[in-house]
Amino acid sequence: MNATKRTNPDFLNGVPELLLLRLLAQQPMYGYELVQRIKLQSGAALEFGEGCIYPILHRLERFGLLTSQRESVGGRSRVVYRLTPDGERKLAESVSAWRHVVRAVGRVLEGDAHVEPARA
Amino acid sequence: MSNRHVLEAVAAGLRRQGVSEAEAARLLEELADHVADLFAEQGETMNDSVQQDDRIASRLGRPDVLVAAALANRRPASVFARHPVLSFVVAPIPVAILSWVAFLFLCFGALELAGWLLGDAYVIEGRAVSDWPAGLVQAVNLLVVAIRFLPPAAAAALLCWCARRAGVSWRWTLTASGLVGLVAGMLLVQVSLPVEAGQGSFQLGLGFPFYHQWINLVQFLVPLAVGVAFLWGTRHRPLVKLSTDERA
Repeated sequence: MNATKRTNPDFLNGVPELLLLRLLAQQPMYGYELVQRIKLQSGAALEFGEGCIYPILHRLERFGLLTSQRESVGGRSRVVYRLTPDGERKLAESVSAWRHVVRAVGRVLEGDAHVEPARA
Repeated sequence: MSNRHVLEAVAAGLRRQGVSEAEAARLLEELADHVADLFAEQGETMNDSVQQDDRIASRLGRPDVLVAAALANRRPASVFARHPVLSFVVAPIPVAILSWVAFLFLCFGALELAGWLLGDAYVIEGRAVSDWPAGLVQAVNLLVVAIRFLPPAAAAALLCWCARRAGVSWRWTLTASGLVGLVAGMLLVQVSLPVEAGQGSFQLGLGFPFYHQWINLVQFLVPLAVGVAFLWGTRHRPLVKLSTDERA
C-alpha cells in the first residue's frame, strides 16, 4: 500500500471538516471510529492518512465546535469527540455552502450546448 | 520504519517546527491510540516487523505528512488566541480606562489647536463661559456627551476586532465588550462650565450609579451593542471555507 498518501489534495479543502462535523452530528466518536465511518459511508472513495484527522479535530475543538473527553470505549481508553451547538450551526452553514457549490459546478459541467461563448 | 519510530519521527518533526509541547503530546497520545486500534483491527500484536511497520505507516500517514497536517491546523500564533483570559477578561478594564484618557487628550488637544488656529476667541483658559463663542460652548457640551459613549464603543470595537482576528470563540468577544460596558456604566461625568474665569471643573470618576442614573445604563449597553453587532456581522462566515466558494 502506498505510504505517500496526501493529507488533503487541493480540491478537497474544507471537506474533512465537513465530514467530521457531519459524522459527529450522528453520534459521539473517537478518531479511529471516525476514520472507519468515513471509509464505510464514502464507499472507500476517500483515501487519506488516517492520523491527519487529529489535528483537524483539535482545531475544530479550539473553535468551540467540538468537545472531547477521554472515556472508556469497549474496554479501551479513547478520546471521544462530540458536536457542540456551535458545531451544529456551523455544520448547517457548511452543508448549505457545499450544496451551493455542487449545484453550481454541476450546472457548468452539464453546460448548455445552445449558448455561444462570448467572443472578443 | 517501526511504528514506534513513526511516532518518534512525528515527535521530532513537531519539535523542530516549534509546535508546543502540549499540542504535540496531545497529538502523539491520540496517534498512539490509533495505532493500537489498527493492531486490534488486524488482530496482531506489535512485532516490529518491516511489513507490519509499513502497513501501519501507510494507514496512519508518513511522519512528514502528519507533521505538515499538525502545522496546517496548529494553534494560532496570535497572542490574543494564546492568552484569551488576559486579552478578553483582564485587558478590557484598562483598555476602557485608557480609551477615556486618549479621548481627553484628543479633545483637549483639538481645543488647544482650535485656540491656536482660530485666535484668542477660541481659547477657553482663564475665560468665563459667557465670553466663549457659541460654537465652542456646543463643542464642549458635545464632548461631555461623547465621552460617555465614544471611547468605550471604540475600546469594545478594538477588542472585538482583536477577537475576530484571533479566531476565538464568540464568548470571548461578548465577554470583552460586556466588561468594557460594565466599566463604561460606572463612569460618572461632572462638568461645571466657568461662570467666572478660572472656576470651571471637569470631573471623571467611577462609581455604581446604575440604580439612579438611567444614562449609566445606556453607557453600559453601548459597548455591549458593539460586541453584538460584531458577532451579528460575522455570523455567516462559514467555517468550512471551500476553495471554490466565491461567497467566502
